[in-house]
Amino acid sequence: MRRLWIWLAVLAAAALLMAGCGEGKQEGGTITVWAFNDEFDQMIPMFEEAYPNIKVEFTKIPSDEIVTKLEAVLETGVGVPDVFVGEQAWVKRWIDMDVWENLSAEPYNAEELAKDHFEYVKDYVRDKDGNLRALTWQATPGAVFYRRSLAKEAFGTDDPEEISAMMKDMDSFIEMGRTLKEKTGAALVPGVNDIQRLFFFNKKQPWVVDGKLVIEDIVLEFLDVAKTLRDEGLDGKLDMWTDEWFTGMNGNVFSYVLPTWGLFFVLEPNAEEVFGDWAAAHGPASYMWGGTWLGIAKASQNKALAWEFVKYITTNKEFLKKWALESGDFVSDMAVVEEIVGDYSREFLGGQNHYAYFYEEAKRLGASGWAERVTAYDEDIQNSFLEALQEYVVGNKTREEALEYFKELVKTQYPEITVE
Amino acid sequence: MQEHVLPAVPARAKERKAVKPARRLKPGQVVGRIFLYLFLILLAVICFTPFYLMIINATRSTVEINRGLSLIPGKSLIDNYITMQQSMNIWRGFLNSLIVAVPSTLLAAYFGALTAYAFSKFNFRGNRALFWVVLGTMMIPVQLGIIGYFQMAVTLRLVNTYWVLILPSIATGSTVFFLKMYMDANLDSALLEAARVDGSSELGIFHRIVLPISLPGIATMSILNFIFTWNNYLTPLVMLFDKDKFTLPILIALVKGTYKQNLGASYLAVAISIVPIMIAFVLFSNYIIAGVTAGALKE
Amino acid sequence: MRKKENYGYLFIAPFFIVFILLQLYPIIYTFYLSFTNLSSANPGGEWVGWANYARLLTDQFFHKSIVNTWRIWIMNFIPQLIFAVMLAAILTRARIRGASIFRGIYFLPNLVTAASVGILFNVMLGWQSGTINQILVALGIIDEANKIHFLASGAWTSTFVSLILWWMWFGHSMILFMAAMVAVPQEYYDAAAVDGAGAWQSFWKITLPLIRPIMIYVLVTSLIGGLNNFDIPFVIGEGQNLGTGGPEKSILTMVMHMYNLAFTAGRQRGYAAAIAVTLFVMVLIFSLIIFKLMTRREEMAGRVLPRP
Repeated sequence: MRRLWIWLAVLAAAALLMAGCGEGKQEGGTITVWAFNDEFDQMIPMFEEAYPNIKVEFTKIPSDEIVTKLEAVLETGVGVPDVFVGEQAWVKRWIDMDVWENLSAEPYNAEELAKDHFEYVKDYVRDKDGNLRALTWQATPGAVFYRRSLAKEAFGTDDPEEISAMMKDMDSFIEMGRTLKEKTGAALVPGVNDIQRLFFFNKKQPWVVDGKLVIEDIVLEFLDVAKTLRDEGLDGKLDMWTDEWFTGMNGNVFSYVLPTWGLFFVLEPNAEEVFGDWAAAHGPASYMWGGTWLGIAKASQNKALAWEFVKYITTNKEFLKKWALESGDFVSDMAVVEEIVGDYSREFLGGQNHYAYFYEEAKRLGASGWAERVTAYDEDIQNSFLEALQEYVVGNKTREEALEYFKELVKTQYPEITVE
Repeated sequence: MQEHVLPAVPARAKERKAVKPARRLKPGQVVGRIFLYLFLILLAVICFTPFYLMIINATRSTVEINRGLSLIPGKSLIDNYITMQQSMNIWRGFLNSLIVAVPSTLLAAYFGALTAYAFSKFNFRGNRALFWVVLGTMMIPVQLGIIGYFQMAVTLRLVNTYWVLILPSIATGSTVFFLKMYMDANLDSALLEAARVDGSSELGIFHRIVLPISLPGIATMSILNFIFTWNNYLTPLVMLFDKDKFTLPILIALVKGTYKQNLGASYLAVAISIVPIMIAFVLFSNYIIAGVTAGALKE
Repeated sequence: MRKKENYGYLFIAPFFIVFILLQLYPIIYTFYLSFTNLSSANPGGEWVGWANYARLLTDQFFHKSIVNTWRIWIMNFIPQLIFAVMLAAILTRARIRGASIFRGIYFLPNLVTAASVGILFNVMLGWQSGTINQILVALGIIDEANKIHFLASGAWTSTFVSLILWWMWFGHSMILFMAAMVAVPQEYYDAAAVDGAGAWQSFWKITLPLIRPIMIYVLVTSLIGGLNNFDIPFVIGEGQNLGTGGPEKSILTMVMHMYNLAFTAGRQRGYAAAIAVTLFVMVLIFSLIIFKLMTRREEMAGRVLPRP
């Protein structure tokens, strides 16, 4: 009997001790997180420092593999992680599959916590009833990064405002390519695939409507623009992510179409020889690219703890601010952005305030309402389109054949889509 | 591309030295022989050049590699190594490959020998028919059952574990086949009977007599099995999720997919994955070649 | 002695249990799946009868993958066979100095992980800074401005895949033939020499017929491997913005098509299983044909497949 009392006393003391750690930290335990992002190597220790009673078991799966692996466990319901990510290209799948908790509902009430988030990063992960299914810490608006020295040589100015005005639409953009070629011999863009998002984000309908594939004029325009660029020798004939593509950053290529993370992870580490010779311009169209959302698995047994993790990473303003300042990442919370946007000056961009630039671009993106047009099929359909486009551009196929080829590819991957 | 499966007969035949007496060559034959050697050397160069360039490029910076071909090493080996280590832990891949390949090889050797011993020395009913089944298993590549195997592994919660990669080696048909032939030729039944009379248990006989006598054959097959498991690509690609668990081939295939492209580091990673195999080959080449050829000898 | 023989069953039991559970059952299960529509869209996988097989008839990429698989194999196997036999004859009969060194070097590419080889050649076949283009420029065969974009052309890519497979396998086959050739009794050649036969005649009349069983063996294993070709084309096509399968899907093999369907977008494992079954049947038919050839002559059967 006495022993029991001692135990109860110990338990009570432990409970008090835990309660003393502050709100939301009453219980401890371990949660599992699956992601492909290197960022979590830094984020998780930050979280664990703030919540010492929650241990995060992190499984890093390469981005090429993660969808396959997640689908495998989600389908069978065996070994589903408590928290897992969705990347822009495939986050819609998780929403369609209904495998994530509804964060708009009790007990999460995420709408209130995320009220300062850019609308489009929320719209992107709303289900058909308008409920939030995931949250993110970042917003990933795009830019056209260009070489200042080449701009001066060809257009007489390297001012981002003036260059943005020059590339206001696709025709002007192509025209700039002709001028560039004539005056400097430089290529407008590294390759034809680089400009894909300038078109895909201007679509007016989803790729699949009522189970039918819709090929809009804007994507046909992409086909023709790509062909024009290649035939007139305006692109660098470089395939994205190849060695030559990276080398081109130090060479004879005028612009790279990349988003926020492209600046930090792609351009800056690779364009060392022309450091500071860059600037960001608003391209012919606004777009976003990439971005990772976090959701809580419906199958999770640790939803409360999982929510602490998601909440901290995506809505804790202190964390977001710290993260933004440490990594330079463009965060999803406008209030945080407002707070720190002030006097940024990026050396790599010749002193330009990239945060102000991205803020402006993110606001533009929010207005266009494209997030509702996104379907789970988009990434695969667009990759098939790029495959067909490549065959057309290099001359393996005619325009007609390329389009047929595109349809055939879609049909093979998704027999449930009607293709006409 | 070919499976390492060998309809094998024991490797008793030693390579025979050419016994023709030397004779003087005519001038025409001299020219012929020069061309012959040139041809052989050219082919050797073709075989070795990619490896050589790989090693050279592993020591050069991306800028140098882009600038042009070189046959002499550069100075960027350390830099490339640091870059490579940032994006992938290749030694971890090595360790993982060993964790898979060593138990697989041991299991294949032990159970292969056990099964072969049964087929060779026990005259149970259905021996012949079952041995044909073993032959049949050699004809079935893993690719054919991979979809079903994956579904099964998911259900049994064995995906993303090494068990799914290791356990199937217990049933390695080629090893059984080869070792049965080996035991037929080299294992004296009288010896086994003598042991039985002395009161040894059946398993004891296997451990104390059969295994030691068959060791050369087991070693040959083990080297081939080890290489085969080490190089296996599709099964770990499908079964393993966690980057920390990836075996070397899977990790190497990721070299292209990393954010920051660094040619020198890519070459270095590939070189690190290849060079140990090359060293092992130099050390064990006689065994390896004996293993490959064993299947072909008729004596 | 009955008791003793029962140990035989005991000793082969682990092999057969593992074989049945981990190899045979998955294949039977794959066979079953081929009659369902299991995919991301239908995670339950309902019975659809022969629908997947009917779809095979209209899937142009599947047809292409069959052609590709055979083309890649044949284009690698024929030169592989020629080189292997020729080199085996030279190294066993022409009294070459350093024969074992040559043998070792020729065999070397076979030992290397296909993934490593694929990545290595992927980098070497690069357009602007690829080693092969650099070699061609250095040798003056092409000039700096006209470097060849190998990996954008279906013909080049497919040719290189065959070439790489040749490079990886001729040494392996050569060693098999060497083993067969050293086993040919020297007296045969001596007798032929007495009859005035030259080296070529001896080769055609003595060597070739006597190594035929090995040739058939090499043919069978190479064919099975060839029909299941996956690693090299898969790795070499990566990162080229062309999707897996290379330009014009020229290196899309059957197993790769199966893998793409089963384990990437859409995850149509039911349909992919039908491809696996087709492949299985194909392997079976061609193996049986060759077995038939093999057992047609009794002495050969006795040699290659000894009776237990």
